[in-house]
Amino acid sequence: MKEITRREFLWISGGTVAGIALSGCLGVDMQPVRESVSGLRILHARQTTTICPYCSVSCGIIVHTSDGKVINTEGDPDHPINEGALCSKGMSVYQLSHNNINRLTKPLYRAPYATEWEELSWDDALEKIARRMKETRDNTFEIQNTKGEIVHRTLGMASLGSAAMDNEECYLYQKMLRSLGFVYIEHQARI
Amino acid sequence: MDNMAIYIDISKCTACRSCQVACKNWNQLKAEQTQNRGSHENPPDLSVQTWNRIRWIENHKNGKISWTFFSDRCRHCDPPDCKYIADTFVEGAVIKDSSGAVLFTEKIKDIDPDEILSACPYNIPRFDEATRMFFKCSFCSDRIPYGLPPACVKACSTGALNFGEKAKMLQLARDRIKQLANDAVLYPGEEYNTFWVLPDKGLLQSI
Repeated sequence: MKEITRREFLWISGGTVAGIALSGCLGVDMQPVRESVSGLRILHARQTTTICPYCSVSCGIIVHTSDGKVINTEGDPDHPINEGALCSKGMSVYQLSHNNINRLTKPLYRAPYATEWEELSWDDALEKIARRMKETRDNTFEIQNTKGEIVHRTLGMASLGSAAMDNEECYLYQKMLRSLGFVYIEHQARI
Repeated sequence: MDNMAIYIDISKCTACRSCQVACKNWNQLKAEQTQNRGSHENPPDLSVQTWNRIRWIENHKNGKISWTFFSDRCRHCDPPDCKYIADTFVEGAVIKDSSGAVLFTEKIKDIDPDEILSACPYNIPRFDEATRMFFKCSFCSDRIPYGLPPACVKACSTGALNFGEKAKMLQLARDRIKQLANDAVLYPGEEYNTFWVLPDKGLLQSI
């Protein structure tokens, strides 16, 4: 038998009571435009908690998935920071998933002075990025500054982002950047 | 089920428009192409895809400009005029469920759209040519039986939107009016399941 959590139990029992109450008192054809009292579309969805990636407030979000696909996202009422509320941006994280038809699924490359984007494979894109980073780093790496102090840095590259990374990913990311000698490390949440 | 209500305290609204996005998210409504019309207000109007919308009202008082943010949506009138008119044509085209929501059903297709449009004193329902249906705020009537608040209310982070039993919401509204004192008023009134507290009765002319 499928295990029923406390929250699901409350939803199911509440829905049944409401269903009985509605069918009893309304002698009409209950077919409201898009809605139906008989089913909450997230009722049997799997709930996973996550943290909003956008700003440093880090609100809690519940992601509802069904068959491995995101079907809804909403604020997590049990989260101490937002208690279920979200701003308009956090409310739209649903669009970060496969549901967004405009979401890029392949790397795009625009050559210098070109006006059109061209599709690249992941291997080509990573190779290109790695090669350019190596070249730039080799050309701009400074062991000492003008005062003769040891700095081991590169001023030829900067990093901005990413807005869609979580705290742990950002930590690993900046660790990698610092190991390369980056100084200009910035994140969307601070802008 | 108890008669429920949405109480909106517009003095607490910061126009973050989380309610607008939450509505689209839950009801799976599409985004709209927007443009700069000289105002932060977007989309320009309620539509088949936009069931609630923050209106930015500019107040000019003593040489100063201030903004009031008014979350425009269906009032879920009690009794609803649209139901009264619709029932004279097709019984059950507009229904009122036990939570207080005013809902349009498929039967609304059989009624002349102009009759429904002219029945609403607040210019809320929007007609979709493709499906011959009307769309507007549904009070999230699919969430309420499961103990979930409407999507917009859940998303509101400032406490401007509140949801609960109507008696409780009216009490909150009355307390807030006392707190704001002087010019604060209840809009549109008590015979509605969505009502607002306006901090200044002068706003009645702008809404």
